[in-house]
Amino acid sequence: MWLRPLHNNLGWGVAACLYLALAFWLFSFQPSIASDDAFFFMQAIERFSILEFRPHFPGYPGFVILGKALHALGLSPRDALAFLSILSALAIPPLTALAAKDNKLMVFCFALTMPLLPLLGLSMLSDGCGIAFFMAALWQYRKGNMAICGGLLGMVLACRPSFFIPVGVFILWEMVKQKGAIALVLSSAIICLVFFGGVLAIEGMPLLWEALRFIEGHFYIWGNTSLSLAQVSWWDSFLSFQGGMIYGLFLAVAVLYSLYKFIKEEALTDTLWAVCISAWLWTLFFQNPENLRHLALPLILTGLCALKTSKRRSSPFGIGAVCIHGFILSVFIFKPIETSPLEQSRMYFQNENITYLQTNYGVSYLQWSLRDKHVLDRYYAHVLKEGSLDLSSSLLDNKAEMKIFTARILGEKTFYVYGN
Amino acid sequence: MRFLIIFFMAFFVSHHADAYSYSAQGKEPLIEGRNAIINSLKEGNKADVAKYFTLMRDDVEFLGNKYDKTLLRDFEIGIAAMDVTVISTGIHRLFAAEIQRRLKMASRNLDKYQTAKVMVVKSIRFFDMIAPELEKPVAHAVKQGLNECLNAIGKPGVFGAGQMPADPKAYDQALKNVVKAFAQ
Repeated sequence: MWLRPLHNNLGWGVAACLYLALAFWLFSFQPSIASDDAFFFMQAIERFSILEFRPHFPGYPGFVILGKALHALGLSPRDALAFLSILSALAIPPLTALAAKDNKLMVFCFALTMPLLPLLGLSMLSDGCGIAFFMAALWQYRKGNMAICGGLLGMVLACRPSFFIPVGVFILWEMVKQKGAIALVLSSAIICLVFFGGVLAIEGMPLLWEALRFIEGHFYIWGNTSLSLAQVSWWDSFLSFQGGMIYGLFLAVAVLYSLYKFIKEEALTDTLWAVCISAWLWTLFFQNPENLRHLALPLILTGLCALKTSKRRSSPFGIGAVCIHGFILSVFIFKPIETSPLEQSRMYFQNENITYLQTNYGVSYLQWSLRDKHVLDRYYAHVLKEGSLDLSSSLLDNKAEMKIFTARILGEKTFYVYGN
Repeated sequence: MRFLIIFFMAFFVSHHADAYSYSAQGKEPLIEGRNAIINSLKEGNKADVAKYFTLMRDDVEFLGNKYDKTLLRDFEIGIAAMDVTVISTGIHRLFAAEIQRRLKMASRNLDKYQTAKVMVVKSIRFFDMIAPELEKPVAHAVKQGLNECLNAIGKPGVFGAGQMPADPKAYDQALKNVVKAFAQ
């Protein structure tokens, strides 16, 4: 008997060391812009304007305000964004553990080793912040503080509006279960009204036109969703990294098995399961499979759901998941790359004696940062000049690449330079 | 059921994917016309170049009459000769005229912040389309002028805080700077 507390303390000790190592590792990277979306956020911290893509629709007002707060403390917009992004990612494992009723250590380890956590920390995007607020909301929900939970759900939407489906399902489910859930609904509605009312006050009616353009564009053009004609599938995304296929199959089996056991043994009224399933469906059908970071929320929720059953049943899932996570991450941990592939390409082109460059990744960032080069958006046709270069995320068979900019972490794209 | 099968197949069937880009700027006839003409030029398809030019000829005539008297004539000469440089320059001049038209509309609506802002922001999107093809000093000067326009339309503030009225004098000067920069 006396072994159990020792066993538990040892486990937490190891987990805490791993957590510190992750924090140290994430802070050892130089803050660098990895995508146009991050660049738009950086500009939004200086001046917020959705119509000018600072940032793009829907504006992510909560995330931008947190970035502005760090900027007000004296950090540059880039550093403020990097700091916010890393802090959000680091907040996820403890908050997820707090959101779990039992099996806290296993849940903590699941979230800590999740292979997309470093991406959430280094991408400088709002995903990590939204997930951290989501976990905080689930924690308060478990403790029964419905008003605070609602407020935090409002913050989830203010930071990451594309989580509206899982958040909406959460609120609706509770409304049906509790016949009202007034405190939850009111507090989340108030927070949303403050943030999105503020955005509407700044942008006015043109915001609605931009909303229509952007939503249509997301579903049919650039989002690669199940509604667009040109698409990559999530299956391809799982196949694109080491251990991805095993991971995908493992998750599918784990979700279906624990769901089956759950339905069999308990009533099908659990809010967390409803939220988890809605997050999976929303992500798989309506989020871009090119960006693995979209999987982070459903993954974390799956960990929470599958690990909340009895210890005997959940331990194999937890241990299996942590082992696969370690296997996937092992490729990335010991790479001595300090900056994002986009930043590496910027530095390369800065020093290269070229005038014309064609790309469809980071177009805005490269145009902004390479002021003496002509950076062409490959989305449009251009009459190309002799000696221009191409920046691409595809490894082409018929062309020899001149330079490779390697990804730092899982979910980032490696870039290749080709001559024309 | 068939719908469901197609829906679920979406996970496993993959096609060539467009890169992640927000460049689809909404339906803008001038931008689409420009893309069609350049694509046909690259293919060396004279009939298509002429066809797509005919589709936007009215716009070229209208904008040319207002802001650039020789635009239509030069365009037609370039298309008859399939001269890439003349056609590219024609497109730049056409976009410069469209930008001026939108900026003038904004100057008539400085008392309506939202309208003025949409006009200026749209001008910037038209400019962003051609900016990488312009000479660097010209591109920098135009961008500078457009930023000055944006500053001159003021700010609405959030619930009254941080409000700044429009400055018509500064706006007119900024508009002049844009026109001057394009004429370089």
